[in-house]
Amino acid sequence: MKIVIVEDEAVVARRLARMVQEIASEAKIEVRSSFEAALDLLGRSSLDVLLLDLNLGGRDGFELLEAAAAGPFRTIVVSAHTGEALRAFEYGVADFVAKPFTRERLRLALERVAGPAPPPLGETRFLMVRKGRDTLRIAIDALVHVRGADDYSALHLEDGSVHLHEKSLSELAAMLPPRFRRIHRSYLVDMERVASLRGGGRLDVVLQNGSTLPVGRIYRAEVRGSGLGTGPRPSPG
Amino acid sequence: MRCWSLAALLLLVAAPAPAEPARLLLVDRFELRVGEETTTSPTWFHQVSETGCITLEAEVAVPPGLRREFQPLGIYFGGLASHELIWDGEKIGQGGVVGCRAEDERPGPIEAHYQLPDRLAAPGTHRLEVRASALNRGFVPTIGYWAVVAGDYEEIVEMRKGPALVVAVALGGLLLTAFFALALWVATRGRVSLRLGLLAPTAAALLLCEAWRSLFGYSYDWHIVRLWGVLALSWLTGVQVLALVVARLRRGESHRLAVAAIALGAGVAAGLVPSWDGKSVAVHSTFFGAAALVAALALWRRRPGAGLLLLGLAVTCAALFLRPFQFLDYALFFSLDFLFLCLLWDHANEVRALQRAQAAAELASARLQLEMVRRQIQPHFLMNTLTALSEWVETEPATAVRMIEAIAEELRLLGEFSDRPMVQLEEELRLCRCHLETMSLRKDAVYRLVVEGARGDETIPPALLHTLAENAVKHGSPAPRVDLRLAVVREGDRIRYVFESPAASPTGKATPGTGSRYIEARLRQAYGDDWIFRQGPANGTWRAELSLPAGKAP
Repeated sequence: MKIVIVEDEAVVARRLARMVQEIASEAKIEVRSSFEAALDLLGRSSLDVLLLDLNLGGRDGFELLEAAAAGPFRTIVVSAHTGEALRAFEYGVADFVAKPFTRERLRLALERVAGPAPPPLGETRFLMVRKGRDTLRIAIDALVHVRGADDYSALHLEDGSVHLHEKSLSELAAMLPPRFRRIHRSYLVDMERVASLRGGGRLDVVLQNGSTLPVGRIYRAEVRGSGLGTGPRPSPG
Repeated sequence: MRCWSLAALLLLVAAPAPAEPARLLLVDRFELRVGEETTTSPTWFHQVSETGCITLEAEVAVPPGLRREFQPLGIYFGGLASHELIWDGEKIGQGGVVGCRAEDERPGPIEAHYQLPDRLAAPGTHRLEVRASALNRGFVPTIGYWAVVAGDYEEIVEMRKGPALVVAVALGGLLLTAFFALALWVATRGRVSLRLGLLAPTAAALLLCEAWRSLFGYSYDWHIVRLWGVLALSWLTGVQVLALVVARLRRGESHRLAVAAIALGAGVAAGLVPSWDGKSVAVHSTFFGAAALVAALALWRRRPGAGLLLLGLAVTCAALFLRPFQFLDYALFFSLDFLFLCLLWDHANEVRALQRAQAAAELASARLQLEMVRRQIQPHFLMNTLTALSEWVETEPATAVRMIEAIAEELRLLGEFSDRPMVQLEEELRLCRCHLETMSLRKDAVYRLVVEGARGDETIPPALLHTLAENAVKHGSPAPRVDLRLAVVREGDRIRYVFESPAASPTGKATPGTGSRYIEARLRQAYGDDWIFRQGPANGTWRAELSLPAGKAP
């Protein structure tokens, strides 16, 4: 596991590195101390977990957070500003550790990101998509369905546009609100946008925008049980 | 407001010049007899004084309607001369003793009126003889003040009462103003109050002096004394009006020389104008004109109070311009009162503004204290410090103790500073060094403060350099060793503090934030507008400069 620590306070960074090493002895740890170095790293290096300080050199770190949220890795925010936690969760960060922190709190955070995709601690409202050197912010309210493909996912928006996201489908499934349901190995759908169900043996969902998606065999019972069929309904979940 | 001022202006211009009463007859066609020669001269009043004694003769045609039934007729004499009035050969009155040599003459009253015996008052043509001498005037008038009026006795008495009521009202207003302004000055020591309190009695004295003739009368040799009095008081009033307007509207700018030059100019103008009325008009025009100009300029620059003062001055100037030679008689009374109304109103506004500013300053001061202390418990600072401290506790307890001591000292100093307007530079530097010690241990680097040129007895508002040091650490690029430099430079009665730190990385925005706002608010509170603070990149460093008055300890 490769863990990157972005922290400009030297002693705090040392503390983080020391504790992470103690908790996850097999992890490979890298430390970056400036905004620019961190941004550069996010663009090209492959990593699994990012420990991110939001206030670097007195700057607002949300720019960095937006870039981080576009990456395939999981992000833990380590910040002095507990007031920023809710806003950070809107970007789907895995955890928020307030400074000063204990070893136990850090262990909890690392355990959350070590296993399968953890459920979100707050309500995710945005997905970030990398476009060249920039990142694009997509409101989840505009998202209709997601199609999984190998290591990335295709986000289908209500305006018909499609954007590729670096996170896997199961990773996004964990981050997104419960109204997004898995209906197929490769599909994640906003159930509030489903117009009707069609077919008997082979089941399809018809979306309000007219497109049709197949329902996987193992998901059929669950989709039928959700009470859909005639029109838009509130999400059962 | 505008309508109101226009109405006041119209009233003022229309009000003077009372209508000539119908039952009065101005006697102005005199024949002058000097020795044996008789001439008819419209300028006889010029010749009366220096030739000694003269006799003037006139035919007075009393029309049948002039005298009311059962009412007496009378004669009014006004002039700078002793006089005897002879009506149809019978002497009916005498003011002083007419004499053909100065020592024989006794000066008579400047105005007098006499009743005509009924037997001499029948309609028809009468002969009036005026014997006069004016050897004690002490000056040569350019316009002879001289009037003989025959007519209804009661109306003559009324005419002489003249503007007594107006004068009394105007005088009362001015004296009340003076009292109020002086009481305000005693209570608040406001300089404008004092100026108002001195100006009002001067204006009152001018009014009294001007109205002395109609109020109390005097023998004609005192006339020149009164003229000098009016001129001197006009000048004094004018100087004070101008100085007051300048002090009120051009705050913080010294214009003593300009005021003195204008005052001198008014004096010279008075000297150049031959007639006495003209002298006073010249003085008033100079001062009120200059004051109105100052007010107009101030209005253009949108200074508070300029509009109100300009209104008061404009009314005065309009009265002067429209009827210059009646100005002293009537308009002066009204316009001075109106000007004082404006001045008092403006003064009330100013007092209110001062109170508000004071309240705001107190609030700002409290806010600054709070701001200073709050920055220390601001989460980014406090939580990062505590996190670093935790690390030292676990790895190097001795270093942790050093850090705790530095933090404790910094907080203790800030607590001490919080209710002080100024601190010694020495204390301030200690505060900075505590902060740098804390930051060194937090950032695992060495932050030092190198000071040059400080004597130690300089005083500055608290936490200014501390704020600069904080910003330098916060926005500076990370390095294992960072020297912050402070140079203290004395320049005459000012001290310049130059604070330099390694510049932030080129892409890092070192925007002035709450720190700069704190510094500016502190400086404003301590020095008013008398300070300079600027900062920016210079030769690869970030450079902040303060220029402060040296000796000022508020």
